Amino acid sequence: MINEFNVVVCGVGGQGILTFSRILASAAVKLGYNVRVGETLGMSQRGGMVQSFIRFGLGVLSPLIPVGGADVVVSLDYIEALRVFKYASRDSTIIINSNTIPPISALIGDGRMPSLSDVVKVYGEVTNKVYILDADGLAIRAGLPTATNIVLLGFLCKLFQEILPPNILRDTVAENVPSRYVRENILAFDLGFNVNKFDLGL
Amino acid sequence: MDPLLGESGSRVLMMGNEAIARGAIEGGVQFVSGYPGTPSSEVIMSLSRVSSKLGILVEWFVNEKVAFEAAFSASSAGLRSMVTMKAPGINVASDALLSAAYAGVNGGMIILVADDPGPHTTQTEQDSRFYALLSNLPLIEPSTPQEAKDMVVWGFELSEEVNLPVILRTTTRVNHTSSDVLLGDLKILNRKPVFKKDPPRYVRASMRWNLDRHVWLNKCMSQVPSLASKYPFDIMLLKGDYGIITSGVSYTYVLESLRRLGFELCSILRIGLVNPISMDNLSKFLSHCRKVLFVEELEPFIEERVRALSTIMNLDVEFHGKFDGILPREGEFNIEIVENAIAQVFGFKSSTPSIKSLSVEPPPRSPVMCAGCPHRNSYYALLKAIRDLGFKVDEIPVFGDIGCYALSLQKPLEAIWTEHCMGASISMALGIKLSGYDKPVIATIGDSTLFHAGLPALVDAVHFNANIVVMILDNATTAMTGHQPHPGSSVRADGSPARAVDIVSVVKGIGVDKVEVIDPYDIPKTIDVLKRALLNRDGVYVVVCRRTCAILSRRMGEKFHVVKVNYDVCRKCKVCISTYGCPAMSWDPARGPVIQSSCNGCGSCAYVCPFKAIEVY
Repeated sequence: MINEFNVVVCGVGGQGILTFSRILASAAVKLGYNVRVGETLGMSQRGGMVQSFIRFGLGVLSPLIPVGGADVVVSLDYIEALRVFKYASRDSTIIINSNTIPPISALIGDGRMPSLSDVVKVYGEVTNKVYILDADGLAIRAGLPTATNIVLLGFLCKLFQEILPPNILRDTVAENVPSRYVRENILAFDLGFNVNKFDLGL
Repeated sequence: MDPLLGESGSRVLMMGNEAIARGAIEGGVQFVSGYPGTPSSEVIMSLSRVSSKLGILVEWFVNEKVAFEAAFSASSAGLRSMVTMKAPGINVASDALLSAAYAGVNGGMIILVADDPGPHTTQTEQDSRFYALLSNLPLIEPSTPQEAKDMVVWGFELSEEVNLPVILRTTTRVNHTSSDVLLGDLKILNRKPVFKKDPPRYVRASMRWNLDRHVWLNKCMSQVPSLASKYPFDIMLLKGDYGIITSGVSYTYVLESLRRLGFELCSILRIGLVNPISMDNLSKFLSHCRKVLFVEELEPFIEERVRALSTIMNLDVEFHGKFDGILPREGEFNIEIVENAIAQVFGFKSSTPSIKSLSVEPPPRSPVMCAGCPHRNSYYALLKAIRDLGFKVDEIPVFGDIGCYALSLQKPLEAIWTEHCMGASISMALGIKLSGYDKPVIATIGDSTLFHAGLPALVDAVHFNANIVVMILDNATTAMTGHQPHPGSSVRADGSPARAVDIVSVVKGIGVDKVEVIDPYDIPKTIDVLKRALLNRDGVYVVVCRRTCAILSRRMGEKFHVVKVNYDVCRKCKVCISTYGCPAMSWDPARGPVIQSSCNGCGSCAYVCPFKAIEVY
């Protein structure tokens, strides 16, 4: 049993970040851990940014992850990964979807759009465990383009199998997605879990 | 099975608000009322899933004042009741709150008020604990979802023992945190309402009675600490003579900070009964400590009272907190802020790493009106109508109100000038007009907000024959907070049928004789009607912009059009993005606009394109 495991998940409203959190947190409850999920979900349906902090372990108390305290950062949108940079440290594992939904502010010309390689460079200076994944592409292959979140969850599970037993996480996926899409979601999870072609950092 | 009905003794993942809902069920609640408001809404949303099964009344009311009075009446008649609201909601209910304290209750009553340090989604960082002093009522505050559930159960018991409503104050980090929660026993009370006539208690018209009830209230409150002592509202850990007094979610930051600092000898008093503070616990703690740090979010509410009480107790303790600037009065806390304060006061070295600056900044991503949102069209048409009539957009005030449409403040529309409080759009338009403003003024207000607090202002506007335009943005729901029904809806909270109150009949009934209903998906007609309204020189002109919320129509499976860009015609002028700003439209510098899968097919962008390059099928 571990004392503390901290996961930061971020992205854009509508990408299924809260579902990702609920599945991971429910699995942790099954494993007998104390669990806290802190969410910033105001106006998430309105295309705003969403950040979710999932913490589990025997010593977890508060809903927020301290600066530099993330064991894992998962970003469903590579631009959004920059907004949670402060939670990463040299021990962190970073998992980034290789796609972005450009914010309207960037389309209108308020800000320069950083590229995926900019983001990889930023994280590469802190940790050498940066994984870039075409999770959108795998979700389409699973027959459910909205299952990017589940693909990334499968990949997270692959990297941390000792903490998160794959069979428990897979069952929890099935319990937490609409019943008519269970097959596609499990396929998405397995595609993420079995991924062996990804860009590793720089 | 719904986790709200989970088996006693099981441990389930619950959001704080679901835990509060479960606590209400374990406390034998029979009547739950409220008005939606982040971060409080999920209490009623989750209870309404199981209310019919349990035979309890769970309902969204027109506003917090009415919700409060209805719950208060149920508790006067012996039922256990709960009323839920966000922080500004208790301002709306405050008139009823203060009188309710003089009458007291027979059945237990919990008043849930959810504050929002941050703020994340609220217009002010209001500290609602002051309402406990103002009304002279007990106030309890949990630190975790588990405690939120437990405190509802204890709160019902305490409320009945002391005959007073109990305020349960929470903050976003408790309401919206999910946690493993150990469930207790369900309690079904099936009490029948019995309202005993007792004028000195319930009639506030006799000043003599009011004086007597004030004495009664103070006497009840003096009994609260001893009655409450059988429930573990307060947590006291006596160790060394350095101590921390804390409450709410800050308690969890304190515990984690002490662990990170290796400061195991620190004594802690976590105050859960915030009003009245238990003098027994406090004197025991202060006699033990020579140096104390207060860790509480927002105002120094506990700090100020404890500093005053320690003077009365004649104790010489060194205090630190907000008065000496160790901790801020603004914003929410986190582990870094709390750890640094503890390190500074007690002479430790903080383990918090400094935050490295980013070499590339992400562009801001503000929430925007959704793809297909009818409000975008209403404001787009309004700004177009203003310009077409030869006015400048910065001389025609557009008063906003509370709801999704306040997002029209974002680029590219930048439409509303104000968003003040529920219903203020109409009263502010009225005020500036009566002040002698000689150009058109417009109030824009949503359907739920109109019912909540807009109608009295509209009555005055008619009464004074004020020459204002009122756009009622009727999307058939309370969209911003998660699509709760309102009096204009044909369903109740649990989905059972209700009688819809017709906005047009209400407006006409008040005496508005110029009322038009338009569909904002029809942009040319909307512009025409708004021009007519802006040119009106006599009295109130109401334009009801009626179209169901795009998220709701998508959920109901309504099919719209297929929208395509004809790149042979597109001249890449970007007008579609720079003037309309639908989030379903992205931009490819080589090709032009790209319609994304989030498009709901309203086809409005086809109207916006000056070259007819967007085609609707």
